[in-house]
Amino acid sequence: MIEIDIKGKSYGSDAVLGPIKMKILPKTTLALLGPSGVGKSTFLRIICGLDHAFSGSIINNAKTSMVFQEPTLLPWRTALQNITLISGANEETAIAVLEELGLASKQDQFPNQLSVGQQRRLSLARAFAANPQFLIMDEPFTSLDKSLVDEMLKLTKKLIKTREVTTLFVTHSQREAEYLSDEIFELSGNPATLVKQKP
Amino acid sequence: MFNFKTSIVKHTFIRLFSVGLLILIWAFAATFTADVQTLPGPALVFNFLIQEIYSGELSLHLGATLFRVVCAFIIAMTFGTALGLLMGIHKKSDRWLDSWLIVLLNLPALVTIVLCYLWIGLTEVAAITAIAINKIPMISVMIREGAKAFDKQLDAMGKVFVVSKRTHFIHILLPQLTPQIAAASRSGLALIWKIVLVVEFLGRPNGIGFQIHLGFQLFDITMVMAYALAFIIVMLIIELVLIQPFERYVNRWRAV
Repeated sequence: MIEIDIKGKSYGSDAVLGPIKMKILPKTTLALLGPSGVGKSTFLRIICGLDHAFSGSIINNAKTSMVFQEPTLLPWRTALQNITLISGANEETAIAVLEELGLASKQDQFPNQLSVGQQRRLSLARAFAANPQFLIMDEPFTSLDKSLVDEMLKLTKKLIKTREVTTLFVTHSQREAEYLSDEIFELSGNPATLVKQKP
Repeated sequence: MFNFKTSIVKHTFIRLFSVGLLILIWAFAATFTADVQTLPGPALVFNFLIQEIYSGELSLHLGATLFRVVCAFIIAMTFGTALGLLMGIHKKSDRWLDSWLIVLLNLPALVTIVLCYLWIGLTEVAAITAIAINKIPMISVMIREGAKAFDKQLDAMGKVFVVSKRTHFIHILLPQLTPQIAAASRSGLALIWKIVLVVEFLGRPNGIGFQIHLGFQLFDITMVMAYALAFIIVMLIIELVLIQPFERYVNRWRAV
């Protein structure tokens, strides 16, 4: 279980996050909705352990991996190396995940040889190859067209279900949130606080 | 349609033609001056070079200079890269060391060489130290600017996935510095060998610089030009055989 207890986060005199308390139960998928600039990225950076300058505490002992807003791949390494080097998975596992995501034939290609959709799938493959207990997804389908978003949503849902990964999915699309998650929270206000959406 | 082979042949032809043109201009200028004590022609210089090759003199002096170039290059690249990385990543170190770097950048090469010879003595260590000290600041500046522009997203990605420090350095940070490392290597080699000649000119008993000094004392311009030419050819070969292929290999992902 992941326990989040943020008392507040400020940049100088500018308070970005207010009190946020939540528990993420194992094997559940939570969606976090919120408009741009509300503090979603700050919230995620705190949960990932990238930002320690906040008051409060995060209890996260789970092996964590993340799908970033941009694919964030190493352009100088092949698709396969992007998985093995970063996730720590061995070649066999990495190839299996690539196959699962329909990228088996692309394993020796560099990211700039892949389409935007393929790069997103590679980013997803890297996250799942790490065999995480807790997966954070930061608006992973931004800038994709609707058909590609639908394909990615289907694929992601299947992977989350088969691997039983606890997931925090950040998006600004109500439709994506409803499709993928068990519960939906909204980050709003200034400083931002968390409100659970009614089912 | 673009034909890669035709393009290479065309480029090689242009390059060879350009070198041939330079030699032709040199030959014309030598004929025009008509004085071997002022400007010996290409044939005379190449003949002298061949004589030096057969007598074994060229390999002796070329070897000594190359040894100094390689040692100074390795030392300068290692320390320069480490210092540049430190200054690029840690703002505090940059603030502390920036003034030192400016002092070293503006220290004339001749002063460093003379000081090293005076402090350490007329030894190989003094010569290589002087050359390395001259080059380290320039490499540091190049690497620092590259390190300042590191991709923060990639850095965050490495931290989230908890990659080892070794992997982070070799596969995330270092490749981002490839353009700076390549530029520093190329300019480093070009500068180092020029400084090596001054170092040898001032205080070594062998090397291309020593031979040029000898040629200067004997007023033998053919000798000066032959030794300079020999080293230019060697450096060109290093550039073509080592540096360019290495650069092509590390940048292969850009070419696709």
